[in-house]
Amino acid sequence: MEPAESKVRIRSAIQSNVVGCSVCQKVLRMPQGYNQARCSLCGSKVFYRKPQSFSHTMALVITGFILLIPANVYPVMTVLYLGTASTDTIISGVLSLIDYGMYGIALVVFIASVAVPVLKLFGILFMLLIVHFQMPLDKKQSAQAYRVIELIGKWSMLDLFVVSILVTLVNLDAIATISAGAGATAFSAVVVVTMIAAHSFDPRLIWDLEVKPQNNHLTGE
Amino acid sequence: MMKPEPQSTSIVQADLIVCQECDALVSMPYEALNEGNSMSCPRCAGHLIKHYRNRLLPSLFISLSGLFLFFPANFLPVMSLSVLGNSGQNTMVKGVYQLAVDGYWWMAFLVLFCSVLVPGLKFLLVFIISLKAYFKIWGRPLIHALKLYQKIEVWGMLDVYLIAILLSYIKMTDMGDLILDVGLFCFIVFLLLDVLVTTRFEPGAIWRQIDIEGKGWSQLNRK
Repeated sequence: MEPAESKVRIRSAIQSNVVGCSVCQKVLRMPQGYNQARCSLCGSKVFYRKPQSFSHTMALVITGFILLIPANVYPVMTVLYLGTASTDTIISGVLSLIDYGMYGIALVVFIASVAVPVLKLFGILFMLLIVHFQMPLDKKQSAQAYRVIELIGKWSMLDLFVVSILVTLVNLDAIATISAGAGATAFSAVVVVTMIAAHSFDPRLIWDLEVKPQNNHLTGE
Repeated sequence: MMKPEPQSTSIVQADLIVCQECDALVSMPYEALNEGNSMSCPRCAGHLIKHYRNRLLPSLFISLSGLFLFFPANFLPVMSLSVLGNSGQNTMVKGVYQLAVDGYWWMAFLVLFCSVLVPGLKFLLVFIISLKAYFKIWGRPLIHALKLYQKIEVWGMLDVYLIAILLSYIKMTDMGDLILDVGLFCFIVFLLLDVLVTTRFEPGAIWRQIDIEGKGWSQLNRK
């Protein structure tokens, strides 16, 4: 794209009372004075903006932050090896991997189960703050950040899957058993909550700061 | 402020596209794009539109093979570990069962949903949708199936599960004799088919076809 061309203000669909269906991408004209309708092609509800996107997302982000505490305090799994039991939280699991010299895996586990959930929660929170305080940030970069957040979310599930494999694999009665711990439940809840939060956030709200819709009440905020 | 929603909305001119991410209204004739090419949004650089290929038969056959592999991939042993004569074995479904027996029903449900149910349901839905679209059996069931497919697609996590298998393998190699089993190979092929079907099968192509044939939700309603 030429720099001169990118200066041209692109109209938002809402300014022309037009809405794109989020399910089938059909372009529809919203009846005058309404803020929701049914798509003529796929029959789903269409909105100018996802209703109550801000408060839903905020509630989910707060839930995610609260759940992070039990997820990191309680053990993710318990290893019973030759009669001695040892418990592992997420952090101590990473640390013991470093102790064993498995730096590569330690890094993978650290990224998937510590860095991604925390960065994701802060990322979504930041998006909400941008929208709420109308921060003059680069919209294109914010949009890119949102795309990355949506993409990486599911990789936090890694640790949970590892636990589900190990509980069956290391099930050797007297010698060694591995069982799941309460932290894993909380942690998987964090993953699910952040995934839903990323989904419930409406990225169009970021762009509304640039192109103000004339009818603010139509956005459902 | 909220009035009851009207049943349907009138359609605007055909060469308009709305960006799902930033709500930009772009005028762009669909036919101007070459087949298989996609265009990103001039404002937010997100995915805007793609000129779909008609690939119903490939997705039909891929989904059929996926359905055949569903049971071997989920029920055959992926790997087994033996230490001093005792051995433990892992299958996809057994992991779920073990978690549920230990009382972790929420985790069991999550693993079952993301690594067993969603991938299986995806293949089943793609199979039904491509079959119906191929023989032009339009109607509400097809529309419901398409919407369900788009909803569950993000929750399929076979790729994450493969890395989890790899991690467990590396973690446990020192412990005893670790044997990779036939289930792993079924699982890898299952995963490859899943990747293929996700890239080949384009719900947008079917929506477009339904639109052109005039078999959309409101048109079916009027009957």
